[in-house]
This record gives sequence, structure tokens and C-alpha cells, in this order.
Amino acid sequence: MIDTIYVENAVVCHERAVNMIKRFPDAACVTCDRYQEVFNPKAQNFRLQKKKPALILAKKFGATVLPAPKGYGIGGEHNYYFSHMLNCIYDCRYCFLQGMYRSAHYVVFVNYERFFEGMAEKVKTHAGEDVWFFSGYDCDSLALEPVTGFVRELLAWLRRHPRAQVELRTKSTQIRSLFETAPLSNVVIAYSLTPAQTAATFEHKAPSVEKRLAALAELAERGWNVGLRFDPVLYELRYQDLYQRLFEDVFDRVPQNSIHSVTLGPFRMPKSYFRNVTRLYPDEALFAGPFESRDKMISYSKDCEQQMMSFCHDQLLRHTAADKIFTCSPLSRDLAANRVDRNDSVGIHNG
Amino acid sequence: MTNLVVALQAEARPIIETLDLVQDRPAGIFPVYCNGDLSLVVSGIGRIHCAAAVTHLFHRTAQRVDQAWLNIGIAGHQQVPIGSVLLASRITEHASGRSWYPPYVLDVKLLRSPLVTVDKPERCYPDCCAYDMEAAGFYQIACRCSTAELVQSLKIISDNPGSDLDLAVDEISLLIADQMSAIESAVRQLSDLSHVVDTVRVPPDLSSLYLEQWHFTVSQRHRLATLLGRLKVRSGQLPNLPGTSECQDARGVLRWLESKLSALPVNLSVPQGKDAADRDEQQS
Repeated sequence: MIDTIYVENAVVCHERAVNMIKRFPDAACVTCDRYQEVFNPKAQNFRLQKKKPALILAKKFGATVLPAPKGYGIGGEHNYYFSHMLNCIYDCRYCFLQGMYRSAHYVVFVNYERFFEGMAEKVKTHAGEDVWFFSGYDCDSLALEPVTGFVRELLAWLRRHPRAQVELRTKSTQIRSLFETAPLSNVVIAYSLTPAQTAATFEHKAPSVEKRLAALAELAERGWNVGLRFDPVLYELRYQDLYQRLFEDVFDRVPQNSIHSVTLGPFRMPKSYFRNVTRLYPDEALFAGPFESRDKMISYSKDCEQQMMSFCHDQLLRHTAADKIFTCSPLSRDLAANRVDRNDSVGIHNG
Repeated sequence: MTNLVVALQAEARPIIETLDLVQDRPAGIFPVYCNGDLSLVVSGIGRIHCAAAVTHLFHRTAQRVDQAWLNIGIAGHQQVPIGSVLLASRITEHASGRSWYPPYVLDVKLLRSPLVTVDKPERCYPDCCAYDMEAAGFYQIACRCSTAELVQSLKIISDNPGSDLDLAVDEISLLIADQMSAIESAVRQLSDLSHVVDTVRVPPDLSSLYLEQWHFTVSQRHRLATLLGRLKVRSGQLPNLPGTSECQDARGVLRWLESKLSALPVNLSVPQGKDAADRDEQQS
């Protein structure tokens, strides 16, 4: 899977780096001073590099835990995110990472302690309150777990810090490491889900939706909190049919009492990323869809987005409680809030 | 277009013979040999010459960006046996200490090694690296002409500690000739990859018929190309041109195309085959 490993000189002897390198005995191991020398140069093509991404082992400096974007959350007041890894082993065509980074290489920061220290600081800042940390913003939280072992160490840390709430966002079925420990109430394993046909078309190299559902069911059975992430919701002629069927499949398989939260989000991408992505894949029908530019973002028209979110929200309410549903775009949050006000139901927690 | 850059005529000879390259006339400041989409320039020794030769070849050929560039030549190595072939995994310019990292996307099973470009022949081989005199100059300038995945340096080991550095012309040619299959394989793969990028970068000309009938401003031309591209992707074919009575000016044409686009149903997902659950999944 990995043919090339770039290692920063500073971590060549780091125990985690050494162990990761050992997993790929046939890979060429190349040292560098800083990972940016490999990751950041201008003349790179993300699409070509996706054919053979390299692993870059680096040391993280500076801030490790950052405030989550406005509107990102699942009910908590204090929301942060961290990225122990940059880039994802899957190749989902709608992913913003391909427009954000020049390189498709996977960067793993091996000094995990820095991330735990950063989280501890935030927990201390918000004394007496829960603090949410989102992993899986710049990578899949679990997909490379057999190589990195990050989650295993994170769980041990979380056991000692119950006010730290963590969402691990994933499409991966690499859940064995989670079963080595008792379920933690301050962890949500959140799966990104799209209709099976959509996944087959756009989520290259990712486990099928069926496999993700099996993993979700197993996690729930073993007592873990799970999250359902219907994000991005993609528009197409049959979207109502596809999402209705997806919701039925998911809620048939995942017991209600294990579901921590459900999020909905329409496709959206910063304009500059969208421009990069369409340059990489000009022949991709997804990017020739009915989008418009609003507030430096490319998204569906307001009408289209409103229709999709309303429909999906109504469908979700047939399966789960309103206070578990969160939405991920400003427009959709307003919509959802208005709908709940009208229905006089329990308030939607705007993320 | 695939561009090969070698330092010596002795290195070029077996490549020219095997790939049926013919010298391009009139001769410029560097000799250039071509055969169809394949070009080779002989730079002379040293990174400055090599960088200049890349520029020369770029301007001498199609001047198109994102073409494949391969530097081929002999190099010394501290440990790798003489006659072995390798791809540079890191190129370091000894004079400045700067390094570059050619992304590896080829499927050829070649040894890979760091490569240090020196200004004088290396006789001490201080590190476990290959040593040459051109790659750093080649890489810096070729990366201005192309994306880094398409810029590679392939070296055939000619000397180790204790070997004679003064090789005869025939000995150099023989070292290259013995590795022609590896060279051809790398050339073929780089060429295939460059086609992927080229197809993406240069969209088919869909606008010309419209430009003949109506006057478009520069920004309208961009909008026209975008709309036609989206229509082509979404429907697989373009609508017949509207009549001039239907669209009196460019603005009318753009409106007409927008209406065609918005009328198209959005069908994104392929029907799920029975093997969808077992499709090619990335393993970690």
C-alpha cells in the first residue's frame, strides 16, 4: 500500500515512527528536514499522487487544537478540532481535501502527546464544562489506525479526562482497536453515510455502505455511542427515493438507544477549492451539477438546498428524536430551526 | 510529449538507437533528437548546462506544460553495484544544500535512492547516496515546465568507491544499453501519466462553432467554455447550435445554454451492481 515513506530527521528515531516504518519493509524510506518540503511545493498534481500516495512522518509544532468552524457541532457549546493526520486513504470525489492540499500524501504527526496536551488545555480553559473535540476533519479518524495506533492512545487519555468529548468521524471498518477497551461514554464513533449508489459512484476505495452499517451495528452492540453523518447530501433527480431508502436501512440496523446524534449537511465547498477540484476532474458530472456561488462557497441553490434538507429532516424525524438531529450549513440550520418552531417540538441543536 | 535529458553523447547513443530518434535540424545550442512525441536533448556535463538544456528543449518543442521529463545518466554510488539502475527519491544540490522530492507514482519496480548533485566528480562517496552532476539543475527547471510527478531522474550506477572514474565512451554506452528495458518502461509510464494530465488540462474545443457565429467578449468566452463543458459532461453530447434568430447575440446564446443545462435531469449515481459491497477497498 505504501511505496514511499518520508520521515522528518527530527522523528527518525521516534518509537512510533520506527514502528510505522517497520510495517512497510519494502517502502523506500527518505529523510527530510520538514514535511512541508515534500507536502507543499506548488508543482504537484493531487490526482496523479492519489495513484500512489506516500506516508510522511512528521512532528507537529504550534497549535494542535483549533476552534471548530462556526456552525460545526453536535450539541456542545465548546467545539474544537484536531488533525493528527492530513489527507485520507479514500478518494471521495466530493471531498474538499483534494481542493485544499496540493499533495495527496498522508502526513502523520507522530508526537501525539502534543495533541493530548492541547486538548487538556482546552478542558482546563472551560472549567466544569464538557468540551467537544472533532477528529476526522482533515482525515478519516480510523482508516489508518492499524498503522498509527493514534486512537488507541487517545482512548486511554479520554478515560482519564471524562469532560473531553470526542467525535471520531470515519468511513472505515477498522474498529478492532476500539474493542480492546470498554466503551467510553465520552466518545462518539460517527459514520459518514450516503446512499449505496452514490457511495459506489463517488466514494472510491472506501468500504461499501453495507460494510459501514455492519460496523455501526457491531459498535452499537458492544455499547459504543454512534453518530450518523449524512453529509454531504448530494442532489440528484431520485434523491428522495435514495435517501428515504438509506434512512430506512440505517435505522433498521442501528438501535435507537446507541445513536448519539445525526447530522445533515448539503454539499458545499469553498470556491477556491471547488475551482481546484474541477481542474483536476473536469470530466466529473458531480461538479457540473446545479451549483451556485454564495458567500465564497459553492453550494446548491437556496431553493434546492432548502428542499433537500427539509425532505431529509422530515424523513429523519420519522426515525429519531428531533433533539438528536443537527445540521451543518447556516441556511439549513435556519430552516431546521424554523421547522421545529412551527412544529412546536423540542428545539433543534444548531451545530 | 515525453522529454529525455542526458548529459553525454555516450549516454544518448543507445537511447537514440533504440528509440529511433533523429537529430532535429537546424541544430540549436544543444543537440536535440526526436521521434514523434519523444524528444531528447544532450546537455553536456553539469547542473547549469542541464537546466539550460531543459529550457532549450521546452522552447524547441511544443512549449506545453505538464509533459513528461526524464533525466537519464550515469552516477556513482557508495554501495549500489555498478550496472544497477535506480530512480532518485530525493535530489540534493550539494552546493546549496537544497533538496527536492520527486513524487513516486510509477509502477516500475526500480531501486530508489537519494541522489546528490555535485559540481565536481565525487571520489569519497560520503553518504549512502548516488552522486551525479546534473539532476538538481534538471529538476528545478523541469518542475517549472511540468507537475513534479512527471519529472523523474533515472540513474545507472557507473562507479563505486575505489572504481576508475575515467570511463571510455563505449563503456558508458554499454551501461545505458544494458538498462534500456528499464528506461523504456519508465518512459512509457511517464508518457501514459502525462496523457492523463494532458486530457484534463486541454479540454476539447467545443466553442469554435459558436465563436464563428456570434461575437463573445473575453469573459463571455470563458462562460461559454464553462457552460459547454458542463453540458458535455452532463449529457454526453452538445445540443445543435441555436439559430441566429433564436439568439441574437452572445448574451442570448449564454442564456440559451443555461436554460438547456438547467433542463437536464441530474442523474449522478450508477445503479448498484451485485459486487458493489466487494469493490476495490483501500487497505491500511
